[in-house]
Amino acid sequence: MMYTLLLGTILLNQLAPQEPLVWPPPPETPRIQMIGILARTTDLGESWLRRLVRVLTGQKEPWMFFQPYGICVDDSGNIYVADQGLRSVVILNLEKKTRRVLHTSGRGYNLQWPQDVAVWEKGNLLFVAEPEQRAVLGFDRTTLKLKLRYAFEEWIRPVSLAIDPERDILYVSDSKGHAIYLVDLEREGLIDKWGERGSEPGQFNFPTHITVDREGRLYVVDMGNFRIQVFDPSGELLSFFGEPGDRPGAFARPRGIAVDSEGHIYVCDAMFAGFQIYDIYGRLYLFVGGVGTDFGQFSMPGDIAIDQQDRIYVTDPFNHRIQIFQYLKEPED
Amino acid sequence: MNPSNWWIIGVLVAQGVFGPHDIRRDLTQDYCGVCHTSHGAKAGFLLSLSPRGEIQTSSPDAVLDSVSLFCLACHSDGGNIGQKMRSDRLLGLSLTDDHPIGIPYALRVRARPDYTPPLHLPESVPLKKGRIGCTTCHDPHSKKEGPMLRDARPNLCRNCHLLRIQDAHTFLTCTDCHQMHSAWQTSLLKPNLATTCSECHTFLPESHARNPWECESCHNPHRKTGTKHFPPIKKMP
Repeated sequence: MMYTLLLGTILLNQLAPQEPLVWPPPPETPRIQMIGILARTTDLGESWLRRLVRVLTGQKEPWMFFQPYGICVDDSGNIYVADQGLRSVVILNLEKKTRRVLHTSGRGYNLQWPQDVAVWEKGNLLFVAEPEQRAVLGFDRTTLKLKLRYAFEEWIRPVSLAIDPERDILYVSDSKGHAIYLVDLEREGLIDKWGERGSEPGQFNFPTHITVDREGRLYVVDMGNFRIQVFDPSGELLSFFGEPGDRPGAFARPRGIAVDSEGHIYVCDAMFAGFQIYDIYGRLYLFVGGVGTDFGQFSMPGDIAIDQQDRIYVTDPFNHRIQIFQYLKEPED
Repeated sequence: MNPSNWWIIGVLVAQGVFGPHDIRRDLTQDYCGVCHTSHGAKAGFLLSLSPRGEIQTSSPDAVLDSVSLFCLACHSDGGNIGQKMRSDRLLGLSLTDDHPIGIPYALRVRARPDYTPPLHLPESVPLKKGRIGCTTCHDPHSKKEGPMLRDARPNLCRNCHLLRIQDAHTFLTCTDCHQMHSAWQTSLLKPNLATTCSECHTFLPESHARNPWECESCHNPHRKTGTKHFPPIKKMP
């Protein structure tokens, strides 16, 4: 809690709206609060000397991202952002105020179109999905050196990654192959494939984004069927919900998905310019967002990630930024 | 879907109407409803929704029409759905490196002799409220020409661009040197143009030995003689 407040004040200094921006708006009990925006490199702080030079020379604050899309966070507070415009992965730490950029220039292994990122804490690896190379690259998290390269023949277009830290399994969604692949990280081999193309429960039609919650359940955005499917670790279909439409709660162009500590499902939607929050039965709780460039507004949001403190990170590619929200829990008695 | 509508679907499939947009291949589902709606449409062509937004394009005065924004709701996700613009290229997440869309055509080509005057534009390249949009070049229902194009290249390009390859390079099309999406270079040139040139022009004279990779700084690949210091190529192979 202290850490959240501290981070909030750091971000609030420059980046957050003057008045607290919450959803749902008052007089309802607020559930989601906007706590900041990451857009310029100076949003992480800059030294007074740098600032002086910048003000005297009249330089503008440089952008931190060009086209951020895939995003994930780890337990130690690092934010990993795949930026296709920079052709790199930007690694931020808001606590230490550091920014590192992973852009490999190794022969044959350079990042072309990094689509999604995922972190395996136990193996200290950062995985990057490279759909154009039909591969998933594994980098050492501290040295940023290339360690692994998974490229199986079955993969057509690996676009999204999720890691089950309990079972050491990397889930890879193949949007053009219409399936989910399971990679055993310990034995470094493909162990299973779930689903094929179709509209029945358990089948997929362009599974574009996936995520794993704390109990190991896998959530799949089944984009072509306009629904969310939830699987347990053994591959049993637990739940599916959703239909195409423009009413609140329906899916128009669903994108990134994430789950918070209480099991709420957050799904970005490019057409609605925001994200919607559901429970596992598909009941809509809240819509957050709006069209524009202001605080809390999006133009075609991309991916979403939620960290241990229930902070919500949403990439906003056309506004070249990341927006950070906080889920406000019920106060415990 | 009502089975009595199957013959409509059959006819449409036979005409190639669906083209590459077979997101919902299972025709028992609401196939057209992915994009269109019968009632309460919010954009042109009975498109079901209108994602208003401020999209940065290559020019500051560009305003995207609602149909182009509708396209971008899928085609800007960095390639999740798998739409390929070229063999190794995707429509990225911004439009700064693509063929300009959203620009007012009449204002832009005023007093420029190398463009078709706006009133003479053929109907096969429809502007959206005077601006170029995705549907100016692409027809989302067609699979006749390449990536859902309205006409074959270079005829499609020549509807607007009067700048023709006059004598040199007549055997090439525009897209052999230019690329329309994710180009990363001025004039929408391919990223490795020097390599593209040297695919044919293998033997360079000795005067070129110093700087063999910047062909276009002296040569004009669109003209036989004239604008620059040297005639481009004396003999075409």
